Amino acid sequence: MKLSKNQKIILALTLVFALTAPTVSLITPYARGQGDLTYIIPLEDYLRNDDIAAIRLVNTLLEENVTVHWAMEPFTVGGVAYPAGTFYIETPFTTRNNISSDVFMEWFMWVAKTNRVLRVDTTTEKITVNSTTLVTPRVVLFYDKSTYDNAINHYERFLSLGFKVKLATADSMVGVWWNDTAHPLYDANVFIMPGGALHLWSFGWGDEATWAIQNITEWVYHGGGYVSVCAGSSEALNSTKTTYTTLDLVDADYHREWFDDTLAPAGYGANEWKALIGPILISVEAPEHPVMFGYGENAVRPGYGPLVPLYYYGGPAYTDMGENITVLGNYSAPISQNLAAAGIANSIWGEPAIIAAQRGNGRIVAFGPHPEWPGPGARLHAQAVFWVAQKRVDTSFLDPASTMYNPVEITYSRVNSILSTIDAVMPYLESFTRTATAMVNLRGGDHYNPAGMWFDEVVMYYGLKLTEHLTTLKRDAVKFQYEYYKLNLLRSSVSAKTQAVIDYALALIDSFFNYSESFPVDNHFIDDSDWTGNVFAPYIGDAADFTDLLGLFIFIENETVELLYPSAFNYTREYYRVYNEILSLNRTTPSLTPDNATLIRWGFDPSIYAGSNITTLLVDFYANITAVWPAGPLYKMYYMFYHTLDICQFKIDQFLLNMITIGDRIRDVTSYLDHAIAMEVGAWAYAVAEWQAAVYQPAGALT
Amino acid sequence: MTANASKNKRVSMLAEFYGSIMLIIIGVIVTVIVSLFFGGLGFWNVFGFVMIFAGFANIIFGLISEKLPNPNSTLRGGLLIFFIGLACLISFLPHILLGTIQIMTLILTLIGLGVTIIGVYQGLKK
Repeated sequence: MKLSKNQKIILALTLVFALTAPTVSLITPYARGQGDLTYIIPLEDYLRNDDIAAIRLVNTLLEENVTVHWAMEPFTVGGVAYPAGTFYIETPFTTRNNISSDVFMEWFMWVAKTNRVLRVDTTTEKITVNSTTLVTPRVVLFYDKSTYDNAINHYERFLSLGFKVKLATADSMVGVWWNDTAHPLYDANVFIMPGGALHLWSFGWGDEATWAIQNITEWVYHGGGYVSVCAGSSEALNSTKTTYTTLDLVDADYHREWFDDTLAPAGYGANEWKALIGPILISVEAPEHPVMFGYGENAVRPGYGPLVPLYYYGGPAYTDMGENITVLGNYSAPISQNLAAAGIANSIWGEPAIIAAQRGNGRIVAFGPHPEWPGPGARLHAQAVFWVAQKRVDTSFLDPASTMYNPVEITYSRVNSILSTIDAVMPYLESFTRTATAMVNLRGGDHYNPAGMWFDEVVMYYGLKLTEHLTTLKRDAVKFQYEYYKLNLLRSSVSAKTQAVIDYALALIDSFFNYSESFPVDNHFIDDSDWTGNVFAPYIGDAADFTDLLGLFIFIENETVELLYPSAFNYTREYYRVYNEILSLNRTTPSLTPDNATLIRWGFDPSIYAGSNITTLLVDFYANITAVWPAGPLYKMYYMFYHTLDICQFKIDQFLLNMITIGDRIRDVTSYLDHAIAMEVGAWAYAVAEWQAAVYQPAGALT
Repeated sequence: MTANASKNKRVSMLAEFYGSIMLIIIGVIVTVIVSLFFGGLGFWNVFGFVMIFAGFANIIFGLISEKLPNPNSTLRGGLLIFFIGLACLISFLPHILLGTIQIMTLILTLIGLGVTIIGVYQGLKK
């Protein structure tokens, strides 16, 4: 090709133009981590930064004892304005595993870029804004009956935000003082009470229950943090005002009248709040409060303001509030609810939905709606945790007992006991989930219907979640075996300081497999029968280790197929559909008196009910279905669901979640450790070790 | 060579030249946008750099082939592999954890260099 004069000019111009590419690449700031800099994470840059990932990074820094500042006011540095709520980190520092900030922040910048936190600003200027130094949150999640699916939702949300959650069953909180090392709250600074209902009943009755409940109150009073959602918030209120047992943390009542059965005719269970289930809009009342940073009138992120959509599921709207309470947000408007059915619950609008309070030295944030559900609530929830976490707790419950170099091999048999169990479990879990899905498809478990069974969806949800959790663990087991092998290979090539971190990581990986080989004892009692008179198949006993889980999966699969599905089928046919038929007639012809044949078909004794009108039949039918003692068909269904769900929650998923938490910590540690090692030995020497490990552990290398 | 064939060849070479210029321009725009969005030089630049370097490989092939008695597709392929390898190498070099992919792209670049040398050797044959 011979170039003409014009083509030569074009080529020359293109050459000059092409130079802009490397020039822009080199002059735009990509902070390398070295030097004394201040790193600023702009959460409001929603195009470049995912705020959940950014908070996860902050939590990883906090776990390593890195000081993270939380700006309480807006500030400007280097000509860039940052709003209140911005996080920044000053260097130099040394992490608790003795890694220098030069190395750690180099990793930080890499992991930020690969986790959609694309913009981290740096400055050499000293930031002088009024800020708070974050305390590492040590989070305990109440994990007990009635929190079933909501506990999972909470756990997963906190996992994504980088909080390392310790699960606390009611049994573990009973019979021991709050300041005793055996109490789950001893080495914690935030207690999370999820949604559900009647959590406090999990503590049983009598003095022991009073003691357990008082323990939580005392712990908060002495500087603990309490973050609650929905029913967990109702339980934080004043017991004198609410007239039932509560934790007495917040001097307020809630609109109990919305939970009364007041729609005419009274007595058929049409609680009005059910009509409000769904997404609602929250107005931000205190945008200057740390919990609400980033939300409200001036919110930049879509969905964060002026009105914030959050999910509502019957949480409290607060009233009769005393001192030391700040209203953070009000219920503002519905999104898709049928307000005509909501009756007086319409008065929810304008009432407090989210409050922050002080009790002694402790702080409380109580959410009426659900910030842990998908939507813009993640940052809100995380900020609530950061705000209430005040007490410094330097040790993590995940730290291995010993970090001395102990080359216990992660043998194939250790890994295989997890993998083969999961493979063996899957057909049963699949059948369990399929049966639960069929149960949901009966349409007898309607949350909006006073005679709905409710927990069928939760059983199905457990089927799906257990599958997810087992899949995560399968991936983790092979990944950690590979990581262990690789770190062992590299151990002799690095400095003594890095060797110590490798030992810590190896001990952590070992603790993951140790946990799977010896599950802690769970005191939750699974009975073969309950006080409703139902008799379940004989319970086979708790799993002592991961391989024992197979028996439990076979048990719940059998129970779902043999007991739950037929019972749900009969309940739906004999009670739920008949109830709906009468309910429907009550709307059109309430004074109708059905003939005897119809009464018999509906299950009424004609000698008693002949001549009764539809409204009377509706109220009586509802009363019969929902009788608590002796238990009516609805409660019998509930207890059958509870039986299966208790096994899912306490005897299976509790152990899986604990393993996932250890795995999450391992992923964090190996991530920065790999980077630190590669910086020490060089990229290519590190790559050679990767390949060497991949030859021996190919599955882990590819995971 | 007939007049028509010669004209066709000329048209195709022109199209290739301007096509390469366009590829470079698009590559520059992609690189600048991605650099500004991500901040700096890194693996995110690989797409833009590959476009720019492939454009230059094409133009260089056009210029070299004019001088060679026997221009061949081995030379074109070699140049393309070499330049694309270079583009990848530059993009991955800043990252210490990407040693494996750095070695792979270095091997790719060296293969490209080898193939280019073979292409030049074949091109010099009459």
